[in-house]
Formats: sequence, C-alpha cells, structure tokens
Amino acid sequence: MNTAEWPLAVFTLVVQMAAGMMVLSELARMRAGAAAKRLFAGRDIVCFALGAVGMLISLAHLGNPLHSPFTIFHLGQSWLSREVLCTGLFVATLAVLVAVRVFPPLTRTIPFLARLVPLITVLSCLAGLATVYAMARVYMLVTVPAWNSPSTLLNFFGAAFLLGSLGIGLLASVNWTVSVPADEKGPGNWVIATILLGLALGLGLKFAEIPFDLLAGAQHNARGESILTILSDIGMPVFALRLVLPVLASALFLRVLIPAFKRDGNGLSAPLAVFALFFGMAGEFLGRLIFYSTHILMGL
Amino acid sequence: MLKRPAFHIDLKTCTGCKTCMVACKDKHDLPEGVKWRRVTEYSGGNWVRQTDGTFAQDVFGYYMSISCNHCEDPICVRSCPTTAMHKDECGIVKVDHAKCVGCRYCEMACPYRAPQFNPQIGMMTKCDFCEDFQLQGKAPACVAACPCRSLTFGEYDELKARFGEATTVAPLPEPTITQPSLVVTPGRTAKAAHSDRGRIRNPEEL
Ligand code: SF4
Ligand code: SF4
Repeated sequence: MNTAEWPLAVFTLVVQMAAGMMVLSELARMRAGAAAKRLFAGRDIVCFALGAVGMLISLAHLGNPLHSPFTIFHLGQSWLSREVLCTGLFVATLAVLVAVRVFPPLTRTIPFLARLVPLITVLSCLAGLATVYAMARVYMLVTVPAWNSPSTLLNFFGAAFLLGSLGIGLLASVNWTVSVPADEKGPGNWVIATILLGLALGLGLKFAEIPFDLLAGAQHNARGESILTILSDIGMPVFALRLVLPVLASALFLRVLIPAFKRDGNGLSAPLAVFALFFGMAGEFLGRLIFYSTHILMGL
Repeated sequence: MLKRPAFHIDLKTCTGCKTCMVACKDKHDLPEGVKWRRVTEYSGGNWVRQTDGTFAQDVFGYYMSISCNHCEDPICVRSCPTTAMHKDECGIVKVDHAKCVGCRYCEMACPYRAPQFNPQIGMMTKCDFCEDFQLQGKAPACVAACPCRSLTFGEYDELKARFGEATTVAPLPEPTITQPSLVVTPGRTAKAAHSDRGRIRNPEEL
C-alpha cells in the first residue's frame, strides 16, 4: 500500500471533512434556527483548525515547501493550482469567522464585519465545495484511467458528507452534553434529520463509487498493473476492513441519532459519536491510501 | 538551436544494451534512482493453434529507449501548479528550479515517466536535451553513445520526413495526449499502441 502519500491522505480527508461540516451545519441551521446555533458552537474554530492543520500537513508532501507560494501561478491550466487557491480561500473565510467569534471587539471596531458574517459563512461553504471538486479534478488525469472517472468525484464528495456528518454530529453531541441543561428541549429534529441526510448521502456516494471501480478494475496498463492486482497485493482483509469501517461508523452513529430523534432531539450521546468518527476516519484514511496505490499510469 | 527538437529511435536495431541510459546518467551525474533515459523491455507471445491443428509460438520482444519527448502539448507543463515546468523558446521542456515546489504532479501525469524526482534537491529533474552539448554543436550524450546508432536527434519535421511517423507502437501511450516529438521506426514484431499482447518486463529498472 502506498503509505508514502499519508500527508496527502490526511490533507484531503480533513479538508473534505471541514467542508462537509460547514455545508451540513449551515443547511441544518437554515431550518432549525437558534436551537442549531448552540449545538454548533465552536464549529468555525474546529473547521478552521482542520483546514489549517490539513494545509500544514500537506507541506510534508512537498520536496521544497519554501516554493509553495508559487503553486497558484498556473490557475489557467493546472487543477492543482486551482485546488491550492480554493483551499486557501476556504481556510481564509474560516479564519475571518474565527476572528469574529474569538475577538468580538473586532465587530465593534469594524461594524460592517458583523453584517458580513452570514455572507462569509455562505462563501465559506461554497469555497469548501469548490475545494472538494478541485481536489477530485486534480486526480482525474487523462493518463490515469482508474482515477479519470466519476468514481473520484463520488469518492471525494462521499468522504466530505460522510466525515462531515460524523464531525458535526460529534460537535452537536459534545455541545449537548456539556452546555445544554437537562430540562431544556432538544435541538429539534431538523438538525438530526440534516445530519442523517448527510450521512446517507456520504455513504450513498461511497457505494455508488463501487460500480465505477469494478468497471475500471480489470483494465491494466503495459506493466500488467490493474486495480485488481493492486488490491490483491494489498490483501483482501485490508480492503474488507476499508468497506466495513464506514458501515460500522454509520451504524454507531445511527445509535446516537435515532434515539435522540425519537425524543425530539434530546440526548445526543457524545462517547458513541467519538467512536463513530474514529471508525469513519480510519476507514476513509485506509480508503485514501488504497486510492493513492491505484495510480495506474498508462504508457511506460 | 533546433526549433522542435526530437528523438528518433530505431526499434529494428536497438539491442537493449542500455548504453544510452548509462551515458545520460554519467553526463548529468544523476544520483541513484534518477534516470532521465530509460530502456523498456517489452515482450509477449504464446502458443497459437494453426489451421492444421498444430501449435506454433509467436513470441516477440523489443526494446524502447525513451527520455523526455519534449512534447508539443506536454501534460507535465499543463499540470504543473508553479509553472516551473515549461517549454522554452528552443522547444525544450525544462524545470525552473527557482520555482519547483517538488509536488511531483508532473511525474504523476507524464505517461512516459520522464520527470524524475531528485530527493537530494527536493525538486523535479528531467532530460534537457543536453542543451550545453547542442550549443557546442555536439549530439546529446545518449545519441552519441549508442553503439548500434539506433538513436538520432534533430528537427522533428526533418526526422519525420527521413524516417516516417510511427509513434503508436506499444507500450507507448496514445500520442494525441501530449503530441510527443518522437519518431519511431518499428521493428518486425512491433505491436500497435493499444495492443494487449505484451508486458513491460523490467519495471524495476524504469
Ligand atoms: S515526455 Fe512527459 S515530461 Fe517530457 S514533455 Fe512530454 S509530458 Fe512532459
Ligand atoms: S514537481 Fe516541480 S515541475 Fe513538477 S509539477 Fe511540481 S512544481 Fe511543477
């Protein structure tokens, strides 16, 4: 397995997770209003930390990180340049949101900033989605047929919604456990329904990817490398684990969400949500390393 | 200097001795693992049933010496985020080490595996068509070293007029992807680009 690409695996996954968290929480907030606001407290900081740490870790993949400012020089043609720009914009919008929350006097000094917060939040969500799209396009190279298919888009957006729902679900359950008085009414089912929708979408996209992978599976290059030969080198138990972990994560997560849904949003269990996110992230990390192993270049 | 510098490889005469590979490594003092020119061993074949019910073998094998093809539409240049990978005014595709970030994206994209990462400097390196030799009126090191005279260099159009255009020989990729400045004279057993008849037998060496 291509473990050398671990910085790219971590970078893509944590940024995708942050994008998914932003989009799902904003969708939930649009319907649930103030109830959702309290449950998503700290979201901007968490997403900013994920984005910033992801960007820092991505530097470990570069041979010469000091030249990284040059990576936005080729926006006209290079999807890698576009990915860097989108990620930068995503993290920058999150940084502004964090600054507004951490330093409230900022909005008194610059009053229009407070009015801009909703707009910046929407921009952040759009930049997050654009980042996930650009990330997928980076790998959709015409010379790598196994990657140059809708499966890469499904894989990356699937990870964004799967990890995003697990992440925002964990944040909501921690906030519920820590700061909501026991007698207070729950967050309402809009929040839970939106997180559930994100989970179903993420898992659905992940499984929709499988037929495309199977189609590409038998195609081999002149070296005789194919998805099937690579999977057999990696070992079927590892591949099976990669498939089982997100299902296990989703099952655990449903154990968090369904009882709370029945109680009209009361009592989200944080410990279970931690395990769900751990298993979900482990499965996606394994999946991403497998993805990088399937760099089956055509030609020589 | 040439306008569209190109290589010609004669598969009929190449014996796969790899002198070109060694000459290139020596001239550019390349570290271990960095190979600007690589010689692919491509072979295949099987027992084939004849009309009279007997079997005959159709085993074949040939060598393909490839460096960078200084392509007309280079995917390495298209992909590079920093513009470090560029085509200069003499048609040579080069890496600008003042900009290269060492992301290896060009290496990921080039179907000829021409960009070669040098871990000692943390940046990409590749065939520069022995530009210094050209300026002195000399042939590139690989061309000069080939004992079978299987490698030639020159202006793409002139090589094409002299040897004919045949760049779709397996295991080369479809030439429309990058439009390589490469002219190939196929041998008797050469297979078409999309052929599934053979395999590259020396991936560790490439
Ligand atoms: S052979 Fe590869 S590295 Fe050389 S110009 Fe063509 S695409 Fe670029
Ligand atoms: S390794 Fe250097 S030359 Fe290659 S794509 Fe990255 S920045 Fe460009």
